[in-house]
Amino acid sequence: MARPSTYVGIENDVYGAMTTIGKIIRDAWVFELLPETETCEGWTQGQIDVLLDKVNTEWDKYGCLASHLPEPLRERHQRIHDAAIAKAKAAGWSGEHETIDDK
Amino acid sequence: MSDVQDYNSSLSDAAQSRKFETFSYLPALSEESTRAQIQYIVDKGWNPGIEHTEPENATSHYWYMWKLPLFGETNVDTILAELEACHKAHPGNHVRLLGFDNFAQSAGAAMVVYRGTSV
Amino acid sequence: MAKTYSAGVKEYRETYWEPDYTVKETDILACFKITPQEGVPREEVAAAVAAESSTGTWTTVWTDLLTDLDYYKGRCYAIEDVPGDDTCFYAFVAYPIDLFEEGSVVNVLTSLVGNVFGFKALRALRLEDIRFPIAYVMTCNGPPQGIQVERDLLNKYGRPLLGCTIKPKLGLSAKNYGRACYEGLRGGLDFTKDDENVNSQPFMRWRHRFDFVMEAIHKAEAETGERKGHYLNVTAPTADEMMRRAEYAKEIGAPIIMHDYLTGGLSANTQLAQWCQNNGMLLHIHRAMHAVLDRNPHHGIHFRVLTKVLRLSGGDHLHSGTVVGKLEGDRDATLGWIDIMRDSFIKEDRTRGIFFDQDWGSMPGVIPVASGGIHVWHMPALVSIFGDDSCLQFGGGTLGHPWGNAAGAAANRVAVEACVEARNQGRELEKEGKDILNAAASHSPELKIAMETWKEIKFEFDTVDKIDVAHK
Repeated sequence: MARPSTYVGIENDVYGAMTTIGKIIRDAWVFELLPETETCEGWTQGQIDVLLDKVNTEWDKYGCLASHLPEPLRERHQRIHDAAIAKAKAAGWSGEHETIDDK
Repeated sequence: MSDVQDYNSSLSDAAQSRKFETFSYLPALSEESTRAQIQYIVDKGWNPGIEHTEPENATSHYWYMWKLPLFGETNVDTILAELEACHKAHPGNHVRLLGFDNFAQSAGAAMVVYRGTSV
Repeated sequence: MAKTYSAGVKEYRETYWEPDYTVKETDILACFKITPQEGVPREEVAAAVAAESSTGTWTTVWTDLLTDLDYYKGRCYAIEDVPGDDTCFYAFVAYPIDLFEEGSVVNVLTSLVGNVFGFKALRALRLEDIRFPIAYVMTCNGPPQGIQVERDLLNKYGRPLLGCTIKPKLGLSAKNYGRACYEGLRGGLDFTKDDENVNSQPFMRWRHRFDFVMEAIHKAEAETGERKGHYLNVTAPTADEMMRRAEYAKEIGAPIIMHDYLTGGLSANTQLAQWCQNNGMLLHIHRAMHAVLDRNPHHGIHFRVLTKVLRLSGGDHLHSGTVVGKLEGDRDATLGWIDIMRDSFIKEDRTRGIFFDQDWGSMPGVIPVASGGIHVWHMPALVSIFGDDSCLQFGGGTLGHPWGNAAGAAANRVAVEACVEARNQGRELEKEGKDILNAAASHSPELKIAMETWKEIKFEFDTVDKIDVAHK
């Protein structure tokens, strides 16, 4: 199967979207750069890149760490990411997947 | 006037961003924890040393030495007392405890015990 | 009385098997594990190995008499059983120091393993260990900086160092790559690392990578107030190109560079190490290709030899295996070569596969780098096994954190500091690891999530190469 040239959308991503792009989109929801209904299906690499820049700018305000987020953001981050982790695990993802390519 | 909140960049948000190496990612050591670390240095046969600096100079390798290294000192209370004395004399400074290892010719342990206000 | 010449094929053992030989302080000694062809006596094969790795030819030629063969020959002086395996045996060979050019591990290897491994009388051959006499050690430059100088340069004392190999997960632009480095360093790592395959491919040329990564380092340093580094890979198609990249790294202020010493070659590596020494640069060494040599327990070169060769050629960090992670690693053997990397004098210890006393004199030590499949739950065991003078690298264990790279880095930094604090207090890391991590996680949401992402560890693994233990 040929690799898709646009993003498949966070609902259709592998490992329940525990991927680099998935994390960018979730963070974009946390920082209200996108509504939580936006799945980014059909987005190009370029659009994802632009979104990444915006997300990075937000993280730079808080030293890149969730534990530095002020309250409303912190709660949103917890909610969105907890749900994502649960969904990923249900889809068969685990920490093992992340370390399997290590050398 | 826009009511979007301005933010402190990591560079200016010193309190949250600045670290000082070993144990700075843990909560500040309690007196009991500090005693345990001093005991470790003593048990290893290292010479304790105390240094301090103004937070704005914390990135320098060289901090001010508090008196001389406590060569051969094995009494935990004595060492703790020197740490407290240094802190009292320089209440705004970071104060760190080192354990000098004569054989490795390096510090076997180094930790900031009193955290000044980072800049 | 001068020897007279008599032509023909002599038996090797007449000339090269000397069980009464007294080893000289200046001899280079080797231990070979020999798997002979059927029917050939041990002394004959062992002597042949000694001959073919030194002065021997397949027949006695008259020119042998023009040199003092006795002075220059390698000689087998001892033969031992391999405990638990009677298909092979150990042969100990002594080589006079004058056979070798000073300061040249290249020459030593060419002599010892260059010709003998294809020899017909052998089914298989493995170089298990080499003893380098202090006289030879002192002709080698050794690690460019060494462990103590590295700590002083980085101002990091009393704990293991932390690193992460950056995997280009989101496109391969140098800019995104630099950002990934920044996040890891900002989150609390000391180092990030180029993957060993990343040299200067069309998708990311080295100069762009170097530039973006340095910017990331400077930013992370300014914000955290701690020194940071990234192992910039200077492995290149030629030594000239390698030097060009190393010079550029120095120009832009990098504290550390990296080289793949086996694929890059020992000549290039020694040159690079000497340059690093003269230019105040730290050198991280990756061991890509080592498994080609060291994986088979009967044939090849044991990793402890590769370790010694690297310490002499020069490197400040060397990958050593993790013992506890998913990659191969016999714990005792690994502890053995970790000592060989770090210590000044290592005593013969067959339980850890150390066949000779090895004296390094005042040659600085190399930091063992544990990398490959490890994550937060391994931390207590890693700190316990490796001690402070080590570098622990978590690739997937950092980048795979559900909250991102910085969170993964912070989780690992909190975990390592918590383990060090607990160890100093006298707690038993391998028994109380879980409690120690849980307590730390109550102050670190990043660590808490990491502990839920990966599974708690139980140590059971089978390794390919175990120390030959006596059970007969």
